[in-house]
Amino acid sequence: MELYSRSNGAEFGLTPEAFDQTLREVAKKYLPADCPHIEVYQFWATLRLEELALARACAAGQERAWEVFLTRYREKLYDIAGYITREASTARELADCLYADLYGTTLRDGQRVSKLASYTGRGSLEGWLRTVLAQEYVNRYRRQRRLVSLDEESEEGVQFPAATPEPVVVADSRVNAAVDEALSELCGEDRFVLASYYLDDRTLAEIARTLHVHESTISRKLDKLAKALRKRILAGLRQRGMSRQQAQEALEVDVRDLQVNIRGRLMQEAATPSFSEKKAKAPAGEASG
Amino acid sequence: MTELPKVVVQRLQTATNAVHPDPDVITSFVEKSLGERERDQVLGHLAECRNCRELVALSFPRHEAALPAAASVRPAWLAWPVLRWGALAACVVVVGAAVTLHRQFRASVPSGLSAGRSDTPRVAQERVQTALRSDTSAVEKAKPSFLQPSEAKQDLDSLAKKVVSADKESPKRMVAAAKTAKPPVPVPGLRDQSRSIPAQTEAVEADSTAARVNPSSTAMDEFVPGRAKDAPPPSAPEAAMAAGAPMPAKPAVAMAQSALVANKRALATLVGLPPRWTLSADGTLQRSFDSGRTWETVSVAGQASFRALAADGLEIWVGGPKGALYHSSDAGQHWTQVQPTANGEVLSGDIIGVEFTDRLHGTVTTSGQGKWITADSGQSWEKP
Repeated sequence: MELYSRSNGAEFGLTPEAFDQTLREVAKKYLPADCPHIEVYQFWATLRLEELALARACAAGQERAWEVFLTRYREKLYDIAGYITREASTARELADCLYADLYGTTLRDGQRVSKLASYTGRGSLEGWLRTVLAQEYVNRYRRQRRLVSLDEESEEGVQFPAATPEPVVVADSRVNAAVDEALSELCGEDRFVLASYYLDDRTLAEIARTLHVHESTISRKLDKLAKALRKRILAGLRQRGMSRQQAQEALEVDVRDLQVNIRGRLMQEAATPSFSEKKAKAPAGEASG
Repeated sequence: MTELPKVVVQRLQTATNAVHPDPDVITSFVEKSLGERERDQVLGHLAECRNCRELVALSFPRHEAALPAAASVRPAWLAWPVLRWGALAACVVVVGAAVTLHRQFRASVPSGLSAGRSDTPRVAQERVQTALRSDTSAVEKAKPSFLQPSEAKQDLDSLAKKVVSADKESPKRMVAAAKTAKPPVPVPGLRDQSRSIPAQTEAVEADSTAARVNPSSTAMDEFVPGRAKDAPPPSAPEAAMAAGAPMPAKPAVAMAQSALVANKRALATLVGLPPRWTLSADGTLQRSFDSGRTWETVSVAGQASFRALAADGLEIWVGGPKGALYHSSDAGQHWTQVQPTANGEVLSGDIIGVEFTDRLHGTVTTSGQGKWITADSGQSWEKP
């Protein structure tokens, strides 16, 4: 009852029973079934109770709750969409689409299903809306990318289809095993930093913001991780029977790079118009080389 | 940055089949409200799932919003437009005066110093009396007059222009410009500013360097840098004394230089930009006045290690192990230890999160998932 009074559920037209049911759903989702009651209560106390009550009241179709929701979040939602898409018309379209989902257009057993019913109050409602918008944007973007027509590709300058995927070349299995072993020894945060920087090309500032640390910390961590990884992999390769020099060569020269280059070189030569032209260019090439 | 071998990068690209965290968990991760165990789980998933990494990156609020709301929480006096412009003009005057004085000093050190040092106090007194006799009207002008703020602004603006343009003028023209300037303008608000912000005090005083050049200085043979700076407050006889009294130029230049150094900090404060704050990897509190280019370590009551930081304008909160919670309401100049208590219970756990939505309302989170809430800037606490 104390939690209900803190949630202002009555103001939004949410009954204590409905609120109690909501809390039980949330606890069931995130806590084990045999969780002690005191821990369950502590978990509930950490929730954004007022925003949870508002969202559930909106999902239940309470007009007063919708008034409050629109007053608080309408403009913010368009701002967030603008920030995510960086294009006004797309932002409006995205926000309108989410509004439809929040209001609930799909029916289940004759009942309107609102996306707000899935909000559990673990983070702020504004943050949740931002995440849901971002998720919708990512999904739409991918869908649209898959549906790009050949004409559009041509207009964009993508006139040639991508080369067929490179054949999987089996490298020395000892290298893969050593690398996998070294990576598995890292904690999740370290692997996240590596993946964000080396795979996603995120900036130091972006990674630092995600982990709530200073970007110089990330810079130092990356340097340290790269050096430690190299050392650990080299040690792993030597354990697997390689000499020091062999291990270093295996790590420095990636066989697959050679394969790609040879393949590319072969393709270039195949596309060369005629032997006579190549022969005519040869002296110039030799002169420059 | 150290390059990773390509084979390592490729092995990092392992796809995951694990269940993706729902938007609530992602939001909690972004807002740093997940427990340690859950956070590690999410990070482990993010390390393997490119889609979720992209989602997290998009889910962060824009950078400006994440920063402390500097513009919204400003000292009340700075909200007064006239004073705001006045303060800006004062800064311009400080910079201009310091540069001018420095150049003038370099140009006229031999004659100026020899003349100044050869004067005995008696000679100086005679020169004062001569000045008083010869230009009583100017002395009259030197009496303090309280201007309206708008006049004060115009006066500061005109002074700023003159001082800056004097950079290109000869010393005599500089003296002439100083003569035509109005006597010092005691603007109450400006004085209040100098009291409220220590770093700014130097800037305002350096500003007076230009403002205190005495109109009755017809007796001046040459312009001696720093003389006006060291002049006493602007009463007529004292101002006349300042015109003739020999003053060592070196301390004045040193003070002008120190004013320049302090000016960087004062400028940041005057335009409403509070310093940027961060915690280093070892938990040391650091502050930057130049948008993060350089950082200086801030000592907080001998406490070395902190884990949480909240900055809102000039209000700073830092929290660390064993309930160490400190608050500064003057951008880190002074610190007060805060000991939250609620219902007889004292916060003694490790503080892992401090969040303040405004100057009054904030939440402190401990490692045991305990939350302490205040609605009066830490005067009283509530434990939900």
